[in-house]
Amino acid sequence: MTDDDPDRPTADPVGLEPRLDELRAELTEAIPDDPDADDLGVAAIIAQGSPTPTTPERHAALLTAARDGDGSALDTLVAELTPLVWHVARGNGLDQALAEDVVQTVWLSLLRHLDRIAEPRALAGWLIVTTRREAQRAWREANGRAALSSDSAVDVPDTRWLPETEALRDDRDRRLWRAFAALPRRCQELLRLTVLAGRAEYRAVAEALAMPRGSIGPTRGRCLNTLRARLEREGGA
Amino acid sequence: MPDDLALWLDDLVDALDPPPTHLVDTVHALLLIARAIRVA
Amino acid sequence: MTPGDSDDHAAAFSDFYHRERTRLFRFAAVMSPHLDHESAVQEAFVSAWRHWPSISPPARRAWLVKTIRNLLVDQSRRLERPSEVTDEVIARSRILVPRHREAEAWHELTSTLAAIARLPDQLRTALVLRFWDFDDDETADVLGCRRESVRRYVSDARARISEVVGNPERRVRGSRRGKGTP
Repeated sequence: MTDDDPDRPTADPVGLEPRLDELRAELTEAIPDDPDADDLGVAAIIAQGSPTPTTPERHAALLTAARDGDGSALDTLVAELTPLVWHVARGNGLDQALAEDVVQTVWLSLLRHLDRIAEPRALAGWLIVTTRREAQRAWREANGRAALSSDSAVDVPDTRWLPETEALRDDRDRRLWRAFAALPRRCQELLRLTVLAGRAEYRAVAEALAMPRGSIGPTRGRCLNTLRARLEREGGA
Repeated sequence: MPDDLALWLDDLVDALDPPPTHLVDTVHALLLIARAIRVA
Repeated sequence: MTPGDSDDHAAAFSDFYHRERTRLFRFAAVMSPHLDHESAVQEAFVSAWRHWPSISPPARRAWLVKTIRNLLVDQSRRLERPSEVTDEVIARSRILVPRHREAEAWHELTSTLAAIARLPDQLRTALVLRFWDFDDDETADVLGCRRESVRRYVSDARARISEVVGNPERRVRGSRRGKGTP
């Protein structure tokens, strides 16, 4: 903080300045600057602020019904969109147990915010943004330090990252999984979401990822290239 | 090949790392309780 | 708006988001550590995108700050049980990661943050913007006041914080007020 107030009553009588400096240093560490571009974050924000008539009516209608107290409408949303929330949480570096916690927190948060989602058609964007925030908070609390979402996941023990081992059927699965888990988190998140976005029932995600036009595609391409390079380095894709 | 990787990513989302099967039921129960508390 | 315009806007918005988001998250965290400050920032960005073509480029950041501030005020009004922003409430917010550090140092940081959070809105906004290196002209724009008033707000805010932190005798009687009390 600059020290140029001519009308300050006294020159820092109780050592306030060092205290504020220390506080600033702490908070700067707690909320670090992330130099990497966050295309997905921007896309999800833009999706929420851009009501377009093509976004799925279905989720909007369910959300409206849920607002009016229809519990089964909310349950349907949960059933249909939990995979989205799950993959965002997992893509942000959480192990399965923490990801489950975050999924629950996000849906509770939706219940609290039901009346305040400005654009019901943009539910997918809201879910993506909220889940990332909760995932990063959970990661920070579990690891005792700031979660830069662009961090590589390599410092996380392999076992916490593996899905149920029986799900990894063969050696190739395991090699792919290791290469995938070593990608920057933002890539893991984006690749998971672009898979969902390719499906009819997640058209909302596709639309959330479509803006700003053209930025997600190249990012996805770069992530795939990195994945391929890692696999080749490990010996034969 | 991109196609090969894309297939594996499909697999990752659906088969290797899908949400646990009980998760949706857990959330349903949680929301039921939360709504009951809000109404009360 | 043609699709081309829309793409240009999206690119400008994207640049703006990447450039400003960290400082705005930090601003909101110090303004209201006990509230859902992160969601206020996200909501403000959504709102900024919705109004993007009508916000003049030099005023964008001040627009975001004002919106975040309003959203935080809304949040605190909606609190079911508004309570005093005590040191304990701030400690529970977990904005400061408690690590292996001396209890006393930890307590000082928390009580400084709490003292800031308890300031009246104008003083707090002026102080927190200065804290994160916003210049006085921009702060004056946010507060709708003159540049000179910003400096007075900041020094007044500092004086009030000095009264409650860093001075064990005074901390006990933390409610003592008085502009310019040395």
